[in-house]
Amino acid sequence: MKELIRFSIKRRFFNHATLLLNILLGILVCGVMFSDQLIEMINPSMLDNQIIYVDLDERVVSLFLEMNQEGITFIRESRNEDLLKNHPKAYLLYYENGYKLESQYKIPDEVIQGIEGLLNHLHQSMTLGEMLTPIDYEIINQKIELENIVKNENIEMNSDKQNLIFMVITSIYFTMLSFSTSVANEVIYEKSTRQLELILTSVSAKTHFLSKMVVGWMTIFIQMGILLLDVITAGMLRILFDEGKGLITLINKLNLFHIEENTFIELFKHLSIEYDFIIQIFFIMIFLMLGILMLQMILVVISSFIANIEEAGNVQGPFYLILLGVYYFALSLNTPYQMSEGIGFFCSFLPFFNMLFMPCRLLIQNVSILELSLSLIISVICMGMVLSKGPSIYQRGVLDYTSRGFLGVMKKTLERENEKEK
Amino acid sequence: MLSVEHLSKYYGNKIGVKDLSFRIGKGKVMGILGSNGSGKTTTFRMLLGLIEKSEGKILYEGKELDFSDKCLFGYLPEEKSLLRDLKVKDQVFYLARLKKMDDQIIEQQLDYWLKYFQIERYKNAKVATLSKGNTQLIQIICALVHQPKIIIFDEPLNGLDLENVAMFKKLCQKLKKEGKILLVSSHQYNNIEDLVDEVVYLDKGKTCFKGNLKMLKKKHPERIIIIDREEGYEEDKGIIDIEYIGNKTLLKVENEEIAKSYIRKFMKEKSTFSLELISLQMMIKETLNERVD
Repeated sequence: MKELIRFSIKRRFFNHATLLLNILLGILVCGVMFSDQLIEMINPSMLDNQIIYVDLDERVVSLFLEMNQEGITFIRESRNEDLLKNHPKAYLLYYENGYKLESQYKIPDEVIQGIEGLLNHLHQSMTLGEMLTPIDYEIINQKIELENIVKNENIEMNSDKQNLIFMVITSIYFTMLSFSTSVANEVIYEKSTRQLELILTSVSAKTHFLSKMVVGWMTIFIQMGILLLDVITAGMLRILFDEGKGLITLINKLNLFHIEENTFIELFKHLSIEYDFIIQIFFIMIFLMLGILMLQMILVVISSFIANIEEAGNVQGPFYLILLGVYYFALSLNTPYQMSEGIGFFCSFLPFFNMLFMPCRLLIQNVSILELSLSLIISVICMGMVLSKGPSIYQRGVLDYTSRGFLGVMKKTLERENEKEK
Repeated sequence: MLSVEHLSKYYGNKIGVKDLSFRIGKGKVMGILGSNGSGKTTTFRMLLGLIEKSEGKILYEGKELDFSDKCLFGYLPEEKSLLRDLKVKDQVFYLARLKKMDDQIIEQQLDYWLKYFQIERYKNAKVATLSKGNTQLIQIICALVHQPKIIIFDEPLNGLDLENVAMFKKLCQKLKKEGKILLVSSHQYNNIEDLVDEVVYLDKGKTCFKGNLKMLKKKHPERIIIIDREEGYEEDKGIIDIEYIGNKTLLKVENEEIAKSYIRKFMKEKSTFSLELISLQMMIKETLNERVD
């Protein structure tokens, strides 16, 4: 088994394609880490605020200037020919038989609607200010707040969490797809080159089958490790460069996250990782790994019946479609109700499905130890079943070159079983 | 001694191999012969433990094989089974390491066999760059590198030119001398005839004939007279078949008595001739004709 694993890992990582891919990955990570510098180099004005020159009544202009609209800078300026020529990204707002917004290029509708909203709001405020006493005006402008009384406070769901869950589901989907299929393709390659026939004279089919599972897992860890190394290296370089100040400014400017600290070191100092969060991540990883292992097992067993690489597409194609269906299914059920008592809740106990649904539940609610244990036990039992039956089916598959395919061989096997019973 | 006793393999109602028995001692070569789909590869796979047998026993040195000794067998599959993108050295090392061999011994063995086949220069070449014949030689090295006691050669002559066929025959003689048990299958009956000691001929999984090849030939009544003449011979009493090969004529006669009468005739004519036993190929041809009839 040790030699099988060593050989597979070496073949996977020490080839031109993987080396090139990892170099590109490193460059990409560095690119992200120094994205502010890249933007500065390629298009320095990209992150500048939108400038709107305002040539309107004094009162309107002062109200605009007071508004402090995020991402927009209002500048009082009289209309002239050269104004927009010198600033192609700027707009000019003025009044001439109605409000006009002049620009070098067509302005997106949502920007126009935004400015229309601002003007409406200003007009209403000005009119009300003229008509009402300051007290009445205060009362009318009072902000109405709506409080949501939640019965089930166990679930915490906001747009950030939903985004996070979307990211988790997508990451899990692509991880399981890429790693489990690469193991299956390795089996198909070894079978189609008949190398398996030689290997199986030295190791049992069970050992070979298990080695493929271990290789699949190890590949994930090694690839994650490489990525982590890239991030750490790029991060260190960034610290040496400017302690990460530029990147943090960019993140804040783009509203990706709100970071109060100025440098990476300050950020690490103030970073507090809660114990519950570590436990959450631990269980998410367990469910992810179990799910990928299960998927790998099924895919490798199916692949063992594939005689050539052309046939692989016919069998794996529908399999990917099923996975895609499961992915969208998981996304559609990403609501508090579905996750706490709907279909998502039940799916979090089903083997394979739980690798998507249980992590989602863990991210939005407190899942009891009993539920976690039950889901884990079901998964382990199911995996044990595949593990006990898998190698013998696998052995039959890898030595079958009849091109009957998985279903054909399984049909024949079932027919034989029925005949035996008769 | 390798003994196979009443070995059978069924795939549902279909027969893979039925009631196959043979014994082969150390330093002997067994020819497992038969047409395509006759059960040769199934037999080899059962011997190697790749597939389970339905019935019967496989014994080595009197003990039933449990396949725990992975170094007992060396196997050359019928088809190319090497990973084309690997270097010769890496491929041999990989398969040998799976047999739990030490790197030092693998290196020694690899160098020895590369030198034996005079292909040392390909040690670091990629398998994909090798000719068909050299690829086959590398496969043979993979089968021999762990010094197995029983060697299975499934269609070993495929892709070999005359020079390599001669080299392969020389190899078999060497392995025989070393006391190895050899099981060989081939469709090139003429080439393996002088190589095998025992034969089993399979047809659709069933044994058609088996035994010591020399004894089988002797027992066979028909004889072949080869005359160094191109003259036409007419079918006569006792002559079964006449074949012209180059400037020689082959007369196949019914039995030894008739053969002797022709020999006397040729001696009087002072013709150059030789008397031979029936060839393996002819035996097989006759067996197949009998089965068709």
